Amino acid sequence: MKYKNKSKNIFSVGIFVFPALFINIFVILIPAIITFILAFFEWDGLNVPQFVGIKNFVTIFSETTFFNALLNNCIWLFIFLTLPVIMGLISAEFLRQTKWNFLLPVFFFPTILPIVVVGLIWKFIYHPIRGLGKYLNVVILGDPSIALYGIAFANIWAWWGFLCVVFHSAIQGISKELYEAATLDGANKWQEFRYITIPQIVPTLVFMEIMTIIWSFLVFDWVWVMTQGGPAGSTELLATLLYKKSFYSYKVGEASAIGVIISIFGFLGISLYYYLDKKGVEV
Amino acid sequence: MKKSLGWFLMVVFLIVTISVFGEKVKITWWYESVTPTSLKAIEDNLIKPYEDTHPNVKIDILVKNQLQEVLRTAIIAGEGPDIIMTMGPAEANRFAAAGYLLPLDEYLTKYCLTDEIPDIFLDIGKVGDNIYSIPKSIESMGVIYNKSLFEENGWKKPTNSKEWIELLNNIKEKGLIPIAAGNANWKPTNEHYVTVYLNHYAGPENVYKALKGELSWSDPIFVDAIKMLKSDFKNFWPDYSIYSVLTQEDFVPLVSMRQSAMFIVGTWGFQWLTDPNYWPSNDEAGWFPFPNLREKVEYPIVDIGIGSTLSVNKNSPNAEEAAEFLMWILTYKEGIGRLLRDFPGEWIMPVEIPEEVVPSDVDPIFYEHVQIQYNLLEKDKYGYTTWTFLGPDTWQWCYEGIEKVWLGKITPEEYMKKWDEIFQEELKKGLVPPVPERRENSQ
Repeated sequence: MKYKNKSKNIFSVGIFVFPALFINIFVILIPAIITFILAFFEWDGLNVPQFVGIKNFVTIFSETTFFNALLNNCIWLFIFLTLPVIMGLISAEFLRQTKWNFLLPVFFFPTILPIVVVGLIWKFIYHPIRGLGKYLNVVILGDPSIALYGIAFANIWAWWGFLCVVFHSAIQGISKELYEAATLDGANKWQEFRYITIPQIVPTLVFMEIMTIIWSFLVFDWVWVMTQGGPAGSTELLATLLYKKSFYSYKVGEASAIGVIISIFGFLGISLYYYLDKKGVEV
Repeated sequence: MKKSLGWFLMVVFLIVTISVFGEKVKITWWYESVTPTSLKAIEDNLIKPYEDTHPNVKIDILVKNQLQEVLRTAIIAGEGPDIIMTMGPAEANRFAAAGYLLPLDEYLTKYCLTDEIPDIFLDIGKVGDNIYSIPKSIESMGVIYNKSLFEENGWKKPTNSKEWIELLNNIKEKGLIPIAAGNANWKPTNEHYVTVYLNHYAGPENVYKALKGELSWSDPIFVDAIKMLKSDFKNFWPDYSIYSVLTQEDFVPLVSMRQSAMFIVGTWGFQWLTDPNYWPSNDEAGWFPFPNLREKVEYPIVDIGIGSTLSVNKNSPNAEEAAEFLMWILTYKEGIGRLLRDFPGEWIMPVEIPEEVVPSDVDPIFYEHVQIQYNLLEKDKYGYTTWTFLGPDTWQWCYEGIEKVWLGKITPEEYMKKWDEIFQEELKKGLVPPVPERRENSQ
């Protein structure tokens, strides 16, 4: 009887888990394994792959384009660990204090727009002849020293609203008594934010920062739509470099090696998550 | 009950029979990104006439953005369209070498096309002893200019370096951008300028030798060509920051509206001249071959390229029908003639088109260009475009590396040195497309 119940439980659990498990195995796990294996092969995408050991990694690490792309990803990471998070926090706190929750969907709206659409719109906005760019003294997407920041700005415009919603949700879970007590003690709005809001939503904050680390190394679409890695490689990221190696240079092995390197950064982000969890930090 | 079952089975049998034997042969063709007007031109001038004369065949033409990427993925999965359209011989030959394309020799011989198509265009589609692709668009580089503007200012078409620089300076003094250009929606646009400067400074014979591995790309003659390009780009092109955000929708109207005087472009540029979105003014446009930039290089020459090729997918269930359709296109001169009018610049096939089938309303400048291109080709007065005759890595360095030269990040010497390193590596691996032999005493 006990055995029958256990089988029945496993079966019922399996029915619910199996579809997602199936997708994870065939859409994520198997391609990831194949990519990892291909990183050690020389393959043009057409003929039979040839085993070359770590040659692809050696080649990539000897190219300045790789380090340039890695640096751009790090810059991107720094920007997204700070600016949109600060904007999301401040706006969420603003909504808490004013109770103007009708603004929430307004803030969130850019997040639901397709990236290709938003990227193209911003590309037109920046255009020096047809867009608002003609009123600026600088061609944002054409200047190698600032093009990456121009793209990041467009991404922040579409992203900070999501963080606002996430932080706003977290803030809803904070006990109101804490704020009441603080008010009675004479705390001002800034002190409420600094000493109550932020400490209380640290788990959410840490989680979003860790996810940002992972997402920063996956960025592709924004850059591809707006500049394709130009001008002169100044907006090249690891993902765009991977794409070009695979589809333009016919070097699937090297592209896979870059994919492995990108996943290492993702792995580091997840490791940080578990490390903090183990250390007792609420995540 | 038994009788009803019998009738039911007979009906099912009939339905299956009709669907199997009555079904048309469907030939799929993935086409690169194209405007609806141009797609209609292909449907009206090629597909419908073929279907009308071959009622058992249906041609399914599908426009695919990012054709290069989706095509390769589909082909290696054993799928893909019946007609394979690639960006040029370098790509087509890779598919052929990997065994994905059908040899076309027997079909070309059957329709006597091996006698009609010039050897240069048959040889370039060869891998081993077989021909696997035929050019769909034979193109060459040149200059499209605002003819009305030139006439009003008394500017002459330049034929040599001195006249070229003089013209550019005169235009600049007028407050115009001498050369309109932009690479925002096609980064490899950079190679168009590299192509003309290499060929028209170093000379086609030296480019030929380099492509055969008989002359180093880091030879001073090529370095000097790039030095000249660097200087001219700085002085006469739009500022790099503007250049990298302009598309042809931006810079072609600049020429029409007299904010710029000309643009350097391949044959495909002629399709813009018939579109009022690109050429909104009533000014007349003209074309001239790019001038030669060194005394010893003869004028005129054209830099020949193959913009795209057509092949047959070996794994296609309708490979034979697809091959027959391709051969029919090459022999259907009326259709190709009408495409000279309806889709100028994109359907210049390597067959002779009789004058009588060319519509009288073909853009005369474009038709003049096609004639000049053909005549110069016949006389071996041609150079080599980088997108047709380089391997994929050298090609990528060609258009990416030149930006570093323009921005002063590397010198022309460093650019050509790296070019040579990559090229020699690809030559060893057999990744450089075949270069047809030049006749002796050709330029």
